[in-house]
Amino acid sequence: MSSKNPQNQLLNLSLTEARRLVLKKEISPVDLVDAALDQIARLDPTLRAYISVYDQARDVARAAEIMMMSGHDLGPLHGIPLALKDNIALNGLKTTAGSKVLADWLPDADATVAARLRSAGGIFLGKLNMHEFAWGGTSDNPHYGAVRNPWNPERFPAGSSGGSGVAVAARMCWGAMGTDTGGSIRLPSAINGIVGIRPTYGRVSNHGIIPLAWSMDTAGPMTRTVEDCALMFSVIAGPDANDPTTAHVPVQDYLTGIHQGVKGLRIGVVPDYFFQHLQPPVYAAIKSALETFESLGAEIKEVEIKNIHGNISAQLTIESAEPSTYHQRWLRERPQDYGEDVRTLLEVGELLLATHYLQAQRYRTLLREEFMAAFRQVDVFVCPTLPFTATKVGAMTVVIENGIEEDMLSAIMQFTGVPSLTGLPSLAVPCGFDFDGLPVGMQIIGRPFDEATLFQAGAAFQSITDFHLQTPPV
Amino acid sequence: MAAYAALPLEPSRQANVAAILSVWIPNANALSTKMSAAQYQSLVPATLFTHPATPEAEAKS
Repeated sequence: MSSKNPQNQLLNLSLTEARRLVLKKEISPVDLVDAALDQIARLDPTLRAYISVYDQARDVARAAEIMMMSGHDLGPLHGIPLALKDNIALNGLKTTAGSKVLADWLPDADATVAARLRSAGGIFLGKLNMHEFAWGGTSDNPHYGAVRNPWNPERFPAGSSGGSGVAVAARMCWGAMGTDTGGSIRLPSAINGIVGIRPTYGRVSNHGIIPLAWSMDTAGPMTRTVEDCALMFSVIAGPDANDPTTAHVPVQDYLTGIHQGVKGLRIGVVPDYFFQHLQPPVYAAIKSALETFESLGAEIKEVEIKNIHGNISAQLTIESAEPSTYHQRWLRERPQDYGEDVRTLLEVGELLLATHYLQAQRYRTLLREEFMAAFRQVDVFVCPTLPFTATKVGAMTVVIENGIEEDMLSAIMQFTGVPSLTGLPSLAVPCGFDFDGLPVGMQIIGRPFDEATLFQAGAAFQSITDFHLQTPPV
Repeated sequence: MAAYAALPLEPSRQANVAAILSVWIPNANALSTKMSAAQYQSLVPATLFTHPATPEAEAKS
């Protein structure tokens, strides 16, 4: 993507930069939408990030331009082209959740997050491809095509918000919404070299989003910079009367202090879990990231989380039993409409015992108590997002070390399961590349409702690194 | 088990499902055994945070 091309210059603007230029009337929302739709037309036949593309976005952009020129600023996303994972409802527009089961479903209202983004001036370009019903980590979708990684289209984009990760990385929108139950925002963020946040459970409304596992589902923005992520997050965060799981906790100011740095920040690491069983380039990138934080004045402390082992079983049990409950009727009435992998997982989830599920839920309390105790010693934790870089499209196994093939689902959730189970917020930030030029990502995990500290740490990291400025070769 | 759950599971599908359960259930059993220990008897499932973390709250943990 040459920067000599004016359209590419637009596409390479961060969301925050685009916002500033729209506000100064130096660029028009129409220019942004045209550039993004052209990019989608050019790349999406290969990458398959979008399920629906809205040409009517051009009309919305023209209206946004007129409003801006006449002095009406709708909000912090005025005129910014965005896209939504296709499990997030838009009134009257197809919302498939990546499934055949919901292929023709037209919601009668916007999801709360969509309504908030729209109210802040965001323009929706379309809906993004994903793992079917968000139940899986590859985005190898049997109904809408396998999503492909812009860093190498032979590689997978991770998931389940694979289309969101790819659309942002390949400059097919300035920000996207994903959903995260066991890692579905953070995994594609890491694998595609972008930023994404899984919020504290209860910080962002799930109303109008097709559920995967109610007790762990979250929604969050995916962008190229931490500042962009904080900007979108500030629009969607906060209680919602339509979602009884949202918390009545005041929303922080995520932007004012974002550039305050990390001097004195205490960063916890758990060496006997988060730094074991990694591909060498992932280990090297995380180690280097910790050194970067130290150079910025942060303090690294080793912490023991005694009962962290066992989290993958708890994660798989809960993430199986809850979707099987939601899908119980459809699984009996139209099983043939599910892809093979999702159908099998839904069948498995019906055969776990209630005691397995409840013991897994009790384990979450134990793990949470240990992390809350650890927050007496540290302010955040840093760890890899996942132990490997992008595998080949279609792979169901992965080799992490010693040539041993491992089941993809268990391996991919090895580190993302911890925030999912505890409910703690976690920010994924790009922190390196492997020998093949494929991105590596880290997670910064924080206290409940303290997303501001995560954004501060991530922004400090991006202030002296350039991983987020690299462009995929497509 | 599928019959007890009123889940139609054709013979052709049983092998795939059994392969996953044969790995997951022993791990789930191990977690259940761990969580049945006397020291964890008072733990109740809790998935929501109702307030931000504070030094006082962390001290109680």
